Amino acid sequence: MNKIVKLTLILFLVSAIVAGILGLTNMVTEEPIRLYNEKKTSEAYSTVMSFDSYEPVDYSGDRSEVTKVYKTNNGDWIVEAEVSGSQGMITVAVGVNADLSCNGISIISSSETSGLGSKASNAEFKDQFAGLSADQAKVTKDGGQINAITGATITSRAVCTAVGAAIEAVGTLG
Amino acid sequence: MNIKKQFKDGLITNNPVLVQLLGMCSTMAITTMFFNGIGMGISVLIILTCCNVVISAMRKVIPNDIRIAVFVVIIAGFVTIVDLLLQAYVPALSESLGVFIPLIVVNCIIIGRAEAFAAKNSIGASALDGIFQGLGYTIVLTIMCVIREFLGSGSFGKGIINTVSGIGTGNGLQIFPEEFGAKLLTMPFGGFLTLGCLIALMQYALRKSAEKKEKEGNK
Repeated sequence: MNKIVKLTLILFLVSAIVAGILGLTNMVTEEPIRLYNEKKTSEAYSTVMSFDSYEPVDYSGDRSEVTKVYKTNNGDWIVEAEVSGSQGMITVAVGVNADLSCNGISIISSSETSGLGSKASNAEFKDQFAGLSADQAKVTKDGGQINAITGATITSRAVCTAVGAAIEAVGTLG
Repeated sequence: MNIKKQFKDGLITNNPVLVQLLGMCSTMAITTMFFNGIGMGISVLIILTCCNVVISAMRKVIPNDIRIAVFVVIIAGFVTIVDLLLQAYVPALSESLGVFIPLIVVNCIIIGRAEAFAAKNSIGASALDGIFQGLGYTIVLTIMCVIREFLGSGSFGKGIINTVSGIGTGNGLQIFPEEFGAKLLTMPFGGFLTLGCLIALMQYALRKSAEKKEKEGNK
């Protein structure tokens, strides 16, 4: 019985010390990590839409892909949507004009295969979305106007789904 | 245990990847570009050395019954520290390595070396073991990255050369157009292929040198 108490105490002590050190590290790194994430998001937003300011809008519609919706001072929209790609979740920022066309997209985070799905971040693919409506923002195989990335149909479709969801969400809000 | 033997062990005769076959998961997954290999290698090197030192220093205090539990807590602690530091100060690397940094916790190199070496040897020797094993891991990873990056996407030094904005954003030297690359090499399948060839080469070289030694011994 004594032995169990001793072992428990030692394990507890070790864990407590490690936890303390981790707490300290977190205090130091919290700020830079937060700043970086904010910077990244705001960069993504400003590439998909031009605006001076924006404010969050509540969205509780059917498209579960949509995670955040913002309305800019010009009456346009910025939507963040999360869709599942071939390797994991892809977070896409979509700029939607007031007339429900896509203004531009930006991949905030993804874990797609390097050299294949990761090309979704390239201008060649992304720029195709500018000016398209929800119906047009599909890969050509599905009847839309987007040329899918070679060898990465799943990723291409996923991004199209995100754009479609974003436009539809704005449609119900707008 | 002398330094020279430890050095040779870590880099060649007992290389963690090519001979002990430890840490396969991360080896397959992240060796697609130069920067990843070096980043992952150095992260593992640092974590391995720190863990080895701490575990070796505590080896007489830790009761045998709970040693694995204590090792895992210590390793998880160091991995989380490195993960947070990378996220804060080298975000590009943290992003491209993704989940594989936290997964170092279960990377068998670390617990393997803790159990097989640090728990039985002095602090100094354990620190050296961490450095040399870490170096062995880094070198193999980097070689695999160079091969897979070149054959798969036709570039060299992606992430480090031609830096655009901060560390890890470089485009690398494009040696031939990316479209001509053998795409399968950038996928995990290509990782197995590359690793298999490297292991074969290594075994060939090891056998050759063993034969040579034998001959010299016979004379």
